Formats: sequence, structure tokens, C-alpha cells
Amino acid sequence: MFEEIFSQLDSFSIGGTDFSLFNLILGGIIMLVGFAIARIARTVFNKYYAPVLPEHTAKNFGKIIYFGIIIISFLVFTTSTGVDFSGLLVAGGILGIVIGFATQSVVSNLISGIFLLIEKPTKQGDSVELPDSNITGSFVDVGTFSCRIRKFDGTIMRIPNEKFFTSNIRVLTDSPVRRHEAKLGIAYKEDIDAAIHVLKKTISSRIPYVLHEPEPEFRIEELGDSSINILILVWFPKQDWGKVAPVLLKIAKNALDDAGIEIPFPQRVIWKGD
Amino acid sequence: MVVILISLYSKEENAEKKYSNYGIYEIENDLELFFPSIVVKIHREDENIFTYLRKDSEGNVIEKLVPSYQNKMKIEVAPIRPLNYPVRRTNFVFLKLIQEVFLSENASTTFLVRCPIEVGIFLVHDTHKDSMDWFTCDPSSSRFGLYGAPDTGKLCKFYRVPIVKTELDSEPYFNCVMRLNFENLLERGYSITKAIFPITDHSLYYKGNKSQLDSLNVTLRKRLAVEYVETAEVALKDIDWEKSPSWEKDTQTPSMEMSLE
Repeated sequence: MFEEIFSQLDSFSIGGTDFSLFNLILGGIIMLVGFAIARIARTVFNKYYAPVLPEHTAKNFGKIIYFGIIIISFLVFTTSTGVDFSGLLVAGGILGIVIGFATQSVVSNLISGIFLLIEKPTKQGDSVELPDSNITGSFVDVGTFSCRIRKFDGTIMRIPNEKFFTSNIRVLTDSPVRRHEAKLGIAYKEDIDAAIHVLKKTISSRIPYVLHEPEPEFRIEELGDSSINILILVWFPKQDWGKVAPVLLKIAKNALDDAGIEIPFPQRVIWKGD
Repeated sequence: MVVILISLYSKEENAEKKYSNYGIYEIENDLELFFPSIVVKIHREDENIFTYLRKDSEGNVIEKLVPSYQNKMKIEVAPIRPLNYPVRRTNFVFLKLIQEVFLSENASTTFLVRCPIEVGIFLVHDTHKDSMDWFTCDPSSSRFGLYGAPDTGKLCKFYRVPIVKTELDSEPYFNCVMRLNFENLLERGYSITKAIFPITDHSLYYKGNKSQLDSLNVTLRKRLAVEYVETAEVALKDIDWEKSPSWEKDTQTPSMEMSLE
């Protein structure tokens, strides 16, 4: 009965395709139901299944479910109402080209985002550095048009996908371990082997995050103007930079102080001619 | 709050001192457990609440309130796998043998090594054993090591371990004994210096204050031109030792990768 009532209402045509009010209302209902089902399905998935999956897999599955149901709803809408969009597509072709040129950067970012998902130069949660942009932080995600990096000061940096894709990316946490280097000098009068022994023993005992295999390495980097400069190289688990790097020099300095090994000031010897 | 002071003893001194055994303890009001450089105190605070307090020699204190709906509180003290200190980062253990073992071609041998442990405290109720607390009595030996190259290698807990003679040669609360069965099917002798394996496949067992870990079979093989090592965990059978509850499975964290937002 409703169909008869609505079918008698005025119909109109766009690009050679006939639309009636009934078709539009039916289509709207189908799409609304589709959106509702998609939201419910995604919520159920996120609540019951996503927690047991890796985060990236869960997110991607959630999106596939959501957009998949919406696309299916749209197809149901077009087939059930008999709407033929081929006329619209032809009519919209030229408009599409115009819009395409106007939104070149938008499309470029969209395509770069897809390539980033395929290439996966980094993972969610990785610490990354973009040397060209002087940005360092924790990688949050790839969005439709931009990536997000949470800088270590807690702020979020949005980077267009195209720029991220074409940038040099230094991933700081891709390998299971990282190395940190620190340099300090001892006086020329000191015994180098004794100083290295003190440093090695103290670093190994005081910093539990420093790897014992490979062991901390000590190199005489330079016979400097005032001091013998020792380069300390230690390895640690990739997540534990904050437990090692900020305290390494403090612990090394205290160890040398306790052992009575002098860390000299810059010195200049002046010879006075007669 | 109860303040407990205890001095730090060496392993040799600890061997002579009287410490609490592994096992199940029922607490009506108060319980004190002593471990090398660590004291655990449990005290009934209220009708249905117990206080759990752990203090180490450096003055670090862990205190927890434990509601109990029974008249008694029951805990189990057991050795657990040495993966938690200073922080949980891997399931693998890298045992570097202090004495190298040379295995000639087509030979097999078995030897026992000490493998470090941590101590777990589990709350026992009905059939469940909930992980309540853990600690290590030997933090200075608990370190990380890398097996392989920095980009492709495996992060492990790293320990230098001696070879021992019997299953009872473990140092209480510091380590357990593990049997390594080696078989060399190569056409040449081979020096064995280390064992790397996922320790989460292995169970721990205790009796009194001694502990053992499941055995590990290691077979050196050659297929075509490639020499490789095959490892397999072998569960201990027909022993009258108690099996430790597993701590680690409750603390796994999922990995994260890139996704579309």
C-alpha cells in the first residue's frame, strides 16, 4: 500500500536516471540500517575479538568489517531500487577529472598512505626519527591523508602521507637491541686499563639493562688536548633507552670519582721565553 | 607498617643460613618468610583483609592488600622462570657455559647445568593459583644478552653457568639444575659453549628448597651442506617433586604494528 502511495508521488530524473521519492526513502532506510549494522558489528568485533589480536590486525579487520557492510548496503540499495548509476558516472566523468586536478595533493596523500600500508616502513609504537624534518617520536598510525607521530614531549605531530613516504625514516626500535655511545676523558697521568676496568665493572653492576653479550666496549677515541678520551659503547634492549642513556655518563663519572681517577679540565701550558 | 631490616649476604653465607622452603603456606594471622636478602611478611589486617609486605636489602618495599573471603589465606612459594628482572623483554634464555664441552663426531653426552630462577608468590584459592608477586634473590646476575646480529638476533636473558654433578646441586633461591642432552650427528667434533632456548616451554619443579627445570635435548645434524641444531624440551617424569605454577603466561603483552586509522 505504501509503495502505491509513494510511487504516485512525483518522480524526477538526473542524468537520464529516474528517481522517485519512494526509491530515495527506501534507499535512505537501507543505508541507515547498513550503517547501524556496520557500527554494531564493529563494536562487537572491537569488544570481543580485537583484544586477542595484534593491534594492527584488529584495526584493519575492524575497518574491513565496517566499510564492507556499508558497501554491501549500498549495493543492496542500488539493486533493490533499480537505480542505474551508469548515467551518473558518465556525467560525472569530466567533473571527476576537474576535481582530480584540483585535489592532486589530497589524492597523492591517499595513494601514499596505501603504499605506506603495503611497505610498512615502521610499526605502530616504534620510535622513529625523520632527520630531514628534525622530528623524533613514537609512531602512532597512518591515517587516510596523514601519519601521526607522538613526540617525546607528548605532543602529536601530523605529517602528510606523501611527505612521510618520501622522507628518510630512521626506525629506532626495529632491531631487538640498540647501542648508545658516550665519551669522557681521563687525565694523562692515569692508568687507562685501570680506568676501563672501573668503568666496565660499575656499568655492568649498576645498569641492569646493559647487555652482557655483547659486552660494553671501551675505545680510546682520541689523545685530546687535556685528556685521554674514552668512548663507551653499550647495547641495551630497544625499549630501554631511557633507562640507560640518561644515566650512563653520571654512573661513569661517579665510578671514576670513587676510584680517584681524575677527569681533567681543559689545560694550556704557557712557556715564557727568556 | 612493620619495618624489617636484613643484611645482604653472599651466596656462600646464604647456604649456611636457614631460609624458608618452597611450598604451600596457610596463614591464619601472621607469616614471615625469609629468603636471601629478602623478607616477606603477611599479616591479617582485618577479618577479611591480609597485608602482604616484601622488603629487600636495599630498602625497596612492596606492600599489597589482599582481600580474602575465607578464614585463612593460602599462598604458594615456588621457583619461576628467570625472565622478569629487571623487566620482562623476552622468553629466551642464553646460558653461556663457564666450562666448554667438546663433543666428538657421532657422540652423545648428558650434563647438568645450573640455570638461574626467580621466586614467585602465588595466591592459592580453590583450584586456581594467581600470580601475586615475584622477586629475584640475585639481581646482580640477571642481565640481557643478544644471540645473533643486532638487526636479526634474539634478545635473551643472559647467564654464565657452571656444569654441576647432580640434580641437587642447585643453590636455593638462586638457581635450579637443568639436564642438557647433547647428540652430535655431524662428521666432526664440536665445541659446545652455550645453549639458547625458549624457557617458557620448560616447567620448573621444587622439593624443599631445591629446584629443577625440564631437560633440553640438543641434536647437531647436517642436512645436505647445512649444519644445524635441533632442540626439544623434555618434561621430567617419574619424580616426586612439585611442579611450579607458571607466572609468565599471565604477563604476555601483544605486539603492535602499523595500521590504517
